[in-house]
Amino acid sequence: MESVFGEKIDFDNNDSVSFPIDILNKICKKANDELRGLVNISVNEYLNPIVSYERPSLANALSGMMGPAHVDIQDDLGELGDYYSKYDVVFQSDYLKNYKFRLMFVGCGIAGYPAKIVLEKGVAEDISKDSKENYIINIKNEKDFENYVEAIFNSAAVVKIIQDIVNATRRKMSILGEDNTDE
Amino acid sequence: MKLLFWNTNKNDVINKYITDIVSCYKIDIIILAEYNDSVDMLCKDLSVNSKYYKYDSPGCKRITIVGHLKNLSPGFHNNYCSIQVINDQMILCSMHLPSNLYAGTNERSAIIREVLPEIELLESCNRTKNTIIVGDFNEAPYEYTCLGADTLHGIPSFEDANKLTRTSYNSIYQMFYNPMWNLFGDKIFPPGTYYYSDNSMSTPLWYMYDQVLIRPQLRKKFKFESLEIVTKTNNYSLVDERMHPDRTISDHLPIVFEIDDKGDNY
Repeated sequence: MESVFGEKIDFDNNDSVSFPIDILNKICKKANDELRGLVNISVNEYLNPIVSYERPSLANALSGMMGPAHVDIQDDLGELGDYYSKYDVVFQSDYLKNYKFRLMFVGCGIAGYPAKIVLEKGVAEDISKDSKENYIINIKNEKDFENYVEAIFNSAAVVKIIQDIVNATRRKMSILGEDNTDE
Repeated sequence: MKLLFWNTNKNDVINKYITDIVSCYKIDIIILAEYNDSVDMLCKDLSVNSKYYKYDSPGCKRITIVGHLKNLSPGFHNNYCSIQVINDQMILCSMHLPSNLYAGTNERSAIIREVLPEIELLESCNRTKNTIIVGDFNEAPYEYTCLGADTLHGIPSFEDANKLTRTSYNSIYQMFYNPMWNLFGDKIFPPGTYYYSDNSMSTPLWYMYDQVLIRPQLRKKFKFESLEIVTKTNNYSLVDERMHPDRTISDHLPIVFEIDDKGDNY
């Protein structure tokens, strides 16, 4: 037999789905490139801290789709749809070593979509003031996810926070004699 | 180091009262919730002997912090909380939790459960347990957000809090000491920081919504006698003729307290 599959396999197919983590990383990389190293935006796998409590934290808004914090894997074997990944998007600054602002949690299944965004409450209130529940957003597909995350980053509320971090960072750099961002 | 916390009830002409409290009590750090006056003017008015600054709090609009100490750096922030690290030696977490109009105990507790691990992370990174949590919690010290083991865990007796942790249902929880319990009742006026009278069957009328909690490890530096709910200053009374908070000024009364910083370099 010359070939098992012949030319039946298409190795150039670009129709694969971009997962939420890929889109978040892409947008955050672009944002970081524009922020001249003054603000670091990162996407991290979110693990519930277990230092002094076991219940999930604000991410318990995600718990409806994640199930309980402690799951016996034997109960869930074979139920791939119950597997979820969680991430948070965090603003930090190399010059403000203690600073952290968590913009959002993102939860998704093994298929990527639907995905759920749990937006920081203050940002959510600034983006849309007409609903109390608007900080939890269910997103059906990749395109909507990318559009929504870009809209969050472009919102006046997020721009204001980033501007405040830039200002605080530059003040700190000025104290350290390192501010040459205008040059 | 003397600190003031006050929910100023969106009064846009509150600066003269703040300035008077600062002058009266020689306040170093001023923490404000629902502050609507001009912070630039406040800093200018306060900068008589030393220069007062507005401290950076990116991401937290509900808290404004002003002071003349230089070594404050921002820590974790969200809508309800601004954490400042003072000289890498002390953690000051200022909070304004949502009121019952917008949230309940579950929501307030959820906010605390997000903030607590960030406090513990900062304590670990800065190798300190000198932690202060102060603010308007919109809950009394005996309600779940302030007392629950997996929330603030603010214990009224230092002797018990000084055991540092408590086990409940197989989990170990760190404790805070909440000295505000000592200010309940009318033996010393006022019986709380907020007064609200309604027709409900059970109400304390006076509420202790504005509180300071400390890690028991900080108790030696916490000047217990300095803890006070302020009702008057040099020039103003903050209560009306019924001895309730004067709502033309604010519906909350301020709290002040002092941390002994002898030997510390702030």
